[in-house]
Amino acid sequence: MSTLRIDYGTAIEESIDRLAEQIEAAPEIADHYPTRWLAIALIDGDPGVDDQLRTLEDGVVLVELRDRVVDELRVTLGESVDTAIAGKRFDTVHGIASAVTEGSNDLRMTRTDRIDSIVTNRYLGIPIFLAAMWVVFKITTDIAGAFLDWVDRAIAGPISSIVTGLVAAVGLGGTWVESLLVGGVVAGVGAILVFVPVLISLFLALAFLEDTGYMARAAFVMDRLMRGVGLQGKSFLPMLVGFGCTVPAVYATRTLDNERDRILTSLLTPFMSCSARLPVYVLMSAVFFPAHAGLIVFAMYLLGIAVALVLGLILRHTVLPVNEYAPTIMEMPPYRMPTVRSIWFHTWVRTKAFLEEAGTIIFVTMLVVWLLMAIPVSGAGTFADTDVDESAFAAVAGAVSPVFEPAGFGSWEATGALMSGFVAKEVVIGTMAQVYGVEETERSDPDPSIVDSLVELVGGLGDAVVGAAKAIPAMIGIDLAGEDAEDEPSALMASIKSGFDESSGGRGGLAALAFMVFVLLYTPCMAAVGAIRHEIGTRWMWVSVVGQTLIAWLLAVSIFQGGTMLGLG
Amino acid sequence: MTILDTVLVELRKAKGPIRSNELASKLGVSEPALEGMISVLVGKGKLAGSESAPIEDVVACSGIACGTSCVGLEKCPFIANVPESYALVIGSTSSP
Repeated sequence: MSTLRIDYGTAIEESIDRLAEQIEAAPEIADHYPTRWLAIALIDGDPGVDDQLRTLEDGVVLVELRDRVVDELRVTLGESVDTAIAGKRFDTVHGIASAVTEGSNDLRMTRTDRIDSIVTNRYLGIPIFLAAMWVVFKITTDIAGAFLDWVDRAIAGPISSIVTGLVAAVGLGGTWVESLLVGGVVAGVGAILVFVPVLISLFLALAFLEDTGYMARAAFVMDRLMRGVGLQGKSFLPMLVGFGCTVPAVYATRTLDNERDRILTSLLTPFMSCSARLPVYVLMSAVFFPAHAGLIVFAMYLLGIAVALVLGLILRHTVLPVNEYAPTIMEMPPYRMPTVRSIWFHTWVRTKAFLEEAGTIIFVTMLVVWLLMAIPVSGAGTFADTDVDESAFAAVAGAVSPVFEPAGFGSWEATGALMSGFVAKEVVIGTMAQVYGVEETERSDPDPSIVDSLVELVGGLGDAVVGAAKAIPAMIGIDLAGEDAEDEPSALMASIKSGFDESSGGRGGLAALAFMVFVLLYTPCMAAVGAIRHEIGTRWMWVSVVGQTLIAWLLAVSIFQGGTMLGLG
Repeated sequence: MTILDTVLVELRKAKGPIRSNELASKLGVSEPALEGMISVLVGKGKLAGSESAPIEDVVACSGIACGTSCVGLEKCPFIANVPESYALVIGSTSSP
């Protein structure tokens, strides 16, 4: 069998010969190792060989000679010697492979390569990414809308009735316990659970994109966009995580190489709209822009990215300058057809995390909000039997609300929702349900039986399935819903509309838009603040909290005042 | 110039991210062959792999985000599957 001898080039070959001479002059070494192999292993820096030779007298001399030879080679080659050796080996293998295989590169192009040439195209990549995200939000708002109505009606109707019935059955009907359970827990936590169908739709759509392999391409496309404005492309990876939840996104900044990048990305990541903010957009869009809800939600996500990019550009060229960013190779997974099981798994674990949060911190916050609303600070009310306008919650929120008057939502109700939203963004909706929806649980049929309530619950689910099915063709312009499409707004929605119209002098739509922008841009939650402090320190944490709130306020005011000047809203 | 040098030169020329399948096509090698080269270049300190980031050291964020359901980065359901990436180590030498 013939032996393949790799030619490492003149300089390395001369060095091999010098070492080979020294090896052959030392019989105790030459007798145990093939001469050329040992010379190459020495130049290549094989640590095992080094260790064995250092135990021999002639070996030490050989290693010293190797060190001198490698130093000379490094100067001659202008690079590390081991890389040059590895390169020559790859060249040899590549030469053999080319000689014994047929076919051009074009023939080797796979289906994945062909799709990638379109979806990661320099010019088409961003529009395709935006189109994909628009479809995601259209599905989220349109298809989930039918289920959202069902859960909403179920919580306001049958579930409230069941809870009221159970409380009455234990003799506590009409007491503060009923107020706490129905007005606090069911209205507050229930209002958040209303949005579970919306989140399931979002998580399903995102899981589909992830499992097909498209999200990796989205990261690639956004990487290029971020470099285009002077940011490190890798920064987009934590930001991508931020669309789900800001907390792990901030921790994911650890994957960045230098401290300035970590600080910069930790400051920008909270601007990515996390899933907890989605219910706020969906509710406000349904109230004020029902015909364009998908577009409004999509615009919020885009605005978050745009603000992060502009702020990143400013910080990158002022307080956080960073050096040249390294070019990157990104490994793209092949496209594949996702399985139902995998998509459902991703969707379920994310939904479960949302539900667990609703059962812990949100539940507690809702109880605190209810308690503050139950304590009278003026008027003749008593505990749990007071006008909400005269409660401690209204007093505290009312003291802060003038700050938001220039943004059009300077009412104590909206301010209170934003204040409680510092704890977690889901709480914004829960608080709004408590402060705006106090009349909603009043029913035309005050005492339905538990059986009637359950029948209503199941019947509503059937309607929701039909409604969702009709929404699919409606997305491409085929209206199967007909006259049923115009649903009557719930009492909560009507109350929110009237509240925003009042606080904005009749420009409720504009004030709602400013409110959504504020929710998008101000501090995501206490957990995110804790993560930022943990990762980049207390000083930067305050920069993040104050900076985000300031930016949110400035943009909200600009939108409301600018829109008012243009006669919008 | 060896094929490993060509990998680095093509990467520099790209001035941004480059897909591994696109680079393999440019070099006229298969993707598994390119993966082998990338692995050697990472070992030689010419490229830094994103997998070397200390994610495993990240503490469970439940300790920090007290009271929330956050279970830590490794188990967090919101962590997206992002592509493996390898960045050129700035300052590493290569023959022209």
